[in-house]
Amino acid sequence: MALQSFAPAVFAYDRIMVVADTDHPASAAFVRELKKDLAPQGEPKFAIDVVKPSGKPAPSPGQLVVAVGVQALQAAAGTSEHTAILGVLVPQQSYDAIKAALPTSRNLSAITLDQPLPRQLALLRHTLPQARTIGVLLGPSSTAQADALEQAAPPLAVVSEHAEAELLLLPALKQVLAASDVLLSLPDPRIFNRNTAQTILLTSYRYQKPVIGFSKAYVTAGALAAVFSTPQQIARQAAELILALDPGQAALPSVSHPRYFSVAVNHQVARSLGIEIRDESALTELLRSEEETP
Amino acid sequence: MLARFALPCLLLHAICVSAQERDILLSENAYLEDIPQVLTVSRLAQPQNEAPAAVTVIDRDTIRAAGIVDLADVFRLVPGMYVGYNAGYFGTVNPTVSYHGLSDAYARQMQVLIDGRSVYQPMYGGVQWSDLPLALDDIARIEVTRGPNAASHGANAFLGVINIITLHASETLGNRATATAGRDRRELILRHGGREGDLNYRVTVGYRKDDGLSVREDEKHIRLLTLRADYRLNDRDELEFQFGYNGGPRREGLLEEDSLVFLPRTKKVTSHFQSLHWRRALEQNGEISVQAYHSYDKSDDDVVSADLQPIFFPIPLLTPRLTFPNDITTERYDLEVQHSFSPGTSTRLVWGGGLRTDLAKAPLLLDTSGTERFHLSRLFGHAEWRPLEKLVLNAGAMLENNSLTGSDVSPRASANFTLAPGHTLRLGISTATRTPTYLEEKFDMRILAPTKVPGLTLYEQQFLDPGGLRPERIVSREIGYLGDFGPLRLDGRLFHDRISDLITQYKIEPFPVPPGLTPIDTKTLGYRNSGDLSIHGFEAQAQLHWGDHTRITASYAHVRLGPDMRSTTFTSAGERSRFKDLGDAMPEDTFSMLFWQRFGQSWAGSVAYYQNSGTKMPGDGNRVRFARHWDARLAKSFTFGNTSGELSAVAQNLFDQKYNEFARYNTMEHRAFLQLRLDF
Repeated sequence: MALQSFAPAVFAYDRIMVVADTDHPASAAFVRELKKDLAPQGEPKFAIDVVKPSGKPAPSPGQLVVAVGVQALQAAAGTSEHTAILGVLVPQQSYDAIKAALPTSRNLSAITLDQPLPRQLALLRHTLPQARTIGVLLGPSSTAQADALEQAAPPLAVVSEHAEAELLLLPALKQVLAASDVLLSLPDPRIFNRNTAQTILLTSYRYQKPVIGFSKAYVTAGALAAVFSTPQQIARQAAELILALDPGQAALPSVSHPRYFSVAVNHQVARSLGIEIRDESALTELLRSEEETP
Repeated sequence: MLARFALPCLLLHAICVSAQERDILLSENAYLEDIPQVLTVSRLAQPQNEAPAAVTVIDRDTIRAAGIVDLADVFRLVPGMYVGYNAGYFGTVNPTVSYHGLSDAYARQMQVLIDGRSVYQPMYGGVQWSDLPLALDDIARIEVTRGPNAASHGANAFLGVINIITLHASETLGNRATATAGRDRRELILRHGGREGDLNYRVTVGYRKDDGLSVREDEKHIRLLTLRADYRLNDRDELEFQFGYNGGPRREGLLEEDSLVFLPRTKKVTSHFQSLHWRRALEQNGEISVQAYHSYDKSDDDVVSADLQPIFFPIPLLTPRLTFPNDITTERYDLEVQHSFSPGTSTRLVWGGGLRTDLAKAPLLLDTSGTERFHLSRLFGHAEWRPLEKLVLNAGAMLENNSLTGSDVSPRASANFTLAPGHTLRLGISTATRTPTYLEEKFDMRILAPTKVPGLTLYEQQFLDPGGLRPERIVSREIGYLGDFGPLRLDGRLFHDRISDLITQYKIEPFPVPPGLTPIDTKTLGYRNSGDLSIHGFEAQAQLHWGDHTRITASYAHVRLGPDMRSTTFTSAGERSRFKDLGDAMPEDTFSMLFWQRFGQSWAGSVAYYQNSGTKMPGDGNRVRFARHWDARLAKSFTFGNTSGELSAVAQNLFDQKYNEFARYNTMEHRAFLQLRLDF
């Protein structure tokens, strides 16, 4: 074990194994786009095998594994130690948990789904310039993000409430809404899920407080706006990463946030709340140009 | 052995970890999965600066801060609204709530909807506020349209519309108990809300005993049960089911005003409804909505007369005290389909149609043991178009056909122009009709007094409608302004309305006498379309949100009713003077104010002030003078483990100003109560 861990491995990045549940539309879209992007002139530069996580992926030593989604990443992490694994479409915290359980020598990296906090805060600033206080609801998965938000938020203040159990959600939500100008949603399956979306969006609307979502679906459902990356955008970034890999390179670059992103806006909700808001492409462009000129 | 078990877990360490901690490992689905569309078009209120009419929104905080127990009282905060406590003395002791007055005990000229269901009563017209199967604490918000809106809501959305929206079942999870106690009022409301997968539901039960005014026979026992279930079929479709019941004995009657027939007595009231509402969210913020409901209202009333023998002396009556049943049952079946969509970014369209059948049975009032049927069908369309960034145009129309007055079209149009950011000018014209009530069209009530003289039955024909009424019509013109000055929001409007074919009571003489009966009077009463009336004036409301801790809302209205004395010929001097008195059927000046202040995290206090100038309301109303009163509330919220709650004290008519409201027989007194609310 110990010997293997410290042996410098040589990776041959010409064969790629994609571990993806292609029955899942987002994973399928990612795979389609990745294949396209890895064949820039229509000439595939790589041999790509697609394996389902349930199909017992067995990559050969030295192979690059692209694991699409948390389940795929778990499956890939359980295979031969001599592979390089790039997780995509994975939340940062899940990636961190999986990585923490592996030996530090494992050649593992990821492009996470999480938008960097400064980007989310920039969206909030541009859509709600009047906002002074951000409200957040914290559950078991999002508590870790609270400190980072506290640090990134100023000059905006942060009001947070914990809601571990479902019955505590509504009272916590009401307290947060009463004390804040906008609800910033941090992904946490205990707080934000299909069932609670109604409670959160309806109650926030009743308090006349906008919600900044973390996915396009939340905007369709009734959040004011969200910055998010599509599987296609992540695939583009993954392809760029793979194409830039040096054939002799041993380790994958460190974990990164999505580089390409979009902004979604619910104009009906904005109008109803009396919020003047720019359109989606203008906001996307604004955020992008701000990030490029530090 | 041990090694063989340990090895796979070392090799597959990640998998072992994931198996143990699967439920806290965040899946990518959180970011990628679809979630149900929640804020669909019909759930979103139109922004006030784009709305085609003046709208006052009352939220839960306002209802609570104002210390409201009787829902009708909250409308005192709406500019131009008249609320008369305990209006009426022989057919109701309910409040009358009417925009711009003109109402007797029954406010026939205003539509009231609860979650899209009309609670306007076809028999007398208006709303029996204390019979509504509705718990105050289940209300999410109330939108009051100040002005006619028949284009959206059809006939009877005449002077205004009250639209009550209750909380979605997903907003009332958990348990709540609210107990209210005062010297003359006790109430307990229990609510449970829960979730089973895609189903959210709540059940509210309640009981209230209200002694009412000390000078009135108006005690009410109200038993309440409401149920709401919101079921999510998939990401696009949602089904809402509601059931409600309100029933119990109510005291009624007044000795001084009608000493002959409608003596104080107890009647039993039963109201219930069932409603099913299906909504499907479409692409581009479109929606299809289908709602069906049934409502049933029964009042079980045994009328008792005084000793009538002295009146008929020397003819000996068979029974000196007459008793006769006055059961009134009305039922409504209603179906409405609505489709809204945006054909382009600057246009929104809503169109739809509906069918309704009202059934009514009132043997005493309509002189038939049969069931009266009223059929209504309607088709409506509404377009909102924004040709310029600063201009919003609204136009709509309702086409209705009913079995009583035939077909009518009620159009509406308005333009909202943004003068500068936060300042909007609105010009609007809106029309509406009001369908005659059963009592205006078919009132046929006689009181028979059999005598001991063979073959002699005395009788009084109290009412005999000739029928064939036309609907009342209104054309309303307005100029409105909405201003946003940071924490202060202003809403003002100048209005000029013209009502024609006003339905009024008149004396009929002679009238047909059935064979075998001997009338004691040569006259009776009925309803006819008489003259025209104008309403003009201005009103304003201001809302100040000063930080998170202070809120002030104030409303003022100056309303002048102008009966056009030359628009009709009167049948009698009495009819003429009653028509002229309509000029006083609204306080010329009304003012209200609510001041709400939070102290720290747990204390809140509020003070409300209301004043009305004098009126002479029609029907059971009579001339009352200028009146003012103050209400106050102090509340302390607390948390105790997993239980949170609030204890509050409310004083109505704080300084015990003994004023009369609606009529001199209503002397308002100081009332106070404590309320404890617990969430657990």
